Amino acid sequence: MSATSAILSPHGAGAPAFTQVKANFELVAKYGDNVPLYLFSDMFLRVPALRELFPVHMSRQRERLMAALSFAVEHAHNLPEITPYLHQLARSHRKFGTEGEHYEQWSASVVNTMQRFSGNMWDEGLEEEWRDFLSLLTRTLSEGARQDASLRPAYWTAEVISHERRSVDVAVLRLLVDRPFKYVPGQSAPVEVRQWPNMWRYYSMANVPRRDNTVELHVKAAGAVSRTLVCDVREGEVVKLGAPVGTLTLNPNTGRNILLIAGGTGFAPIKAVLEHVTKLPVPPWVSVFTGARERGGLYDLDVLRDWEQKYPWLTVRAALSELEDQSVATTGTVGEAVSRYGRWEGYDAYVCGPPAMVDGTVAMLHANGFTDNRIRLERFAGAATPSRRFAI
Amino acid sequence: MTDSMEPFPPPGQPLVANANGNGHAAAQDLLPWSDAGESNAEDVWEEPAWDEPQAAPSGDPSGDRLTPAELRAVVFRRAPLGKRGLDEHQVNSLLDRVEAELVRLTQEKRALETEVELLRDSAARQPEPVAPPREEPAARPQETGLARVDQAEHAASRSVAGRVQEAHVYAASLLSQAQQTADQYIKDAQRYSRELIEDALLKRGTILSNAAAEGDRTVGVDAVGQEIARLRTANQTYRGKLRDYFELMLMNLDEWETAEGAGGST
Repeated sequence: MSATSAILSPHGAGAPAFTQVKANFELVAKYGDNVPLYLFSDMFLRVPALRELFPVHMSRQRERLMAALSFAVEHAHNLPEITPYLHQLARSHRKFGTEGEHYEQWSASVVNTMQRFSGNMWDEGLEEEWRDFLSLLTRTLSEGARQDASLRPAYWTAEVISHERRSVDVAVLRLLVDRPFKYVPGQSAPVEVRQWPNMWRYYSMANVPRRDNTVELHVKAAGAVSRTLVCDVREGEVVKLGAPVGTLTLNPNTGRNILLIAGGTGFAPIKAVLEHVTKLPVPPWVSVFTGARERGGLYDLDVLRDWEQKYPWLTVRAALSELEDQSVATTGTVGEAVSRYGRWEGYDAYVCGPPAMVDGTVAMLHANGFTDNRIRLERFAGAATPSRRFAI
Repeated sequence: MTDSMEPFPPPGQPLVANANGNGHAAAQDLLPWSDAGESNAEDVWEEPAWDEPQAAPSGDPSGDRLTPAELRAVVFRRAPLGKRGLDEHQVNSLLDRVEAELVRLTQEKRALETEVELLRDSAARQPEPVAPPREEPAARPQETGLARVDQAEHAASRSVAGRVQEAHVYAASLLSQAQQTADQYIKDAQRYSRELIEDALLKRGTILSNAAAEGDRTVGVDAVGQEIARLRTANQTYRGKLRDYFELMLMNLDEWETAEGAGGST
């Protein structure tokens, strides 16, 4: 098995199986968190400047690194198969300032780490196989980064042009992006604030793309970045935006009616999808169910009520699960509310909210005859923190 | 090198075993039944290699080295009768030794320079795990003395690379521990702040639901307020009327006094 020829023709039939690498990684991975811990330490010691590309808090980074590396090793015999994943990984790394040489430094640290944990299992043949595998891997990553660099910047900068505190822990921000910012309504984008360098958190744009490059974000103070966005950020401050991702987007060609279900600030992408519907030449019937624990969580209900007056095809229902307020909303979860109104045969469902709410709602939808291909959820490509994003 | 091959120590385990130094002494004191041969120091207590920087292997173990003091203390015999000056033989032999010493010093200097260079390289980038013995056939010296120095240099650079590797592993372990500590602090702080906020939100919720439950009482308070306002108005009305009445009375009194006075004087 000649690794060199494999590098020359990675897609050919002679692609190496990397069986040694796989077996070795399986062995080393047993050391758990110590493995990525050593890997990062090795890399930061050799190239201290790389430390600045990472947040202070590294435990999540280590989890992601091991997840990505084990996924790549698992598919080592056929990397072209996971090229889309690797390209997405490289794309999402551009906002950190990752460059081609960083992948090489990373590869060197992977080799050092594997050697460190392999003990006397390590030999030259194994090392060579690791190097071959890593060079294939980094080549795919660099290629993905290069392709993306020809299409869009590594990140956008955006000025906060309005900041409204809608309730004790929810704020609606409007950002003016410095350059055209293309996305599909319902997608989200990672945001970095000055106060938390290298901590990117995803927020959905709550509007369709506009000519004036403004986007609206709905933020619930749950994590560090969210709390900063809700409590500290003022008008005039500048944040960074990464490339948009996400699949909670309108499927406009089904000819079916639309059921939009939102929990808390999960309303943001639902609002964007709804605005997308308003732009359709022939809008379908749309039912919006928006839920929260208490009145403050229905922070954008006024806009919805206005639209309900304006568009005859739209109905809006609100639900409060904990502190009831019959003048505004029915009592109970959104899932219960949807179920109560239930004749949803001709509908496609779009759901976004905190995990418990999404899980409950999906179970209810299944009980009401929805199949999975008629449900779209908020799902994040490669983001490790979907659960924290839309906490009610 | 075997040390560096061992699995990464868990975070709780101290990397520098200094703290165990007393423990070892105590263990020996407390275990009188153990055979002296069994309680071998190496079994219980192994000093990490990076803790004791070994002196670089001396280039010449013969001990026949010329020192500056020796040179200063040298006293030449006078030349034998019939010749002028100092003992030629003695001077020549000293010159030979000086020459040999200079050659040796130059070689050692070169070896040290190589070592420094190697260390610099290692510091700049990770060296190969085992320093590859660099073959320089062109520079292979002919004299046996120089060849020996060359070998020593190789051995030294290998041990230097090994120690650099160990130091790197040690540094990486330290860095890892520091990172873990930082992660733990941040996690604790985040959990604490989350608990505080959740607690505050819970209290807020309780206050709000209590307020909602006491809505009726709020209406009652409103009624009381209206009653108070009505009574206040009534109060003001009565006061005004009372004042009017008193003023009328005073006016009557004045008139009466005037009338009586007039009557009295009359």
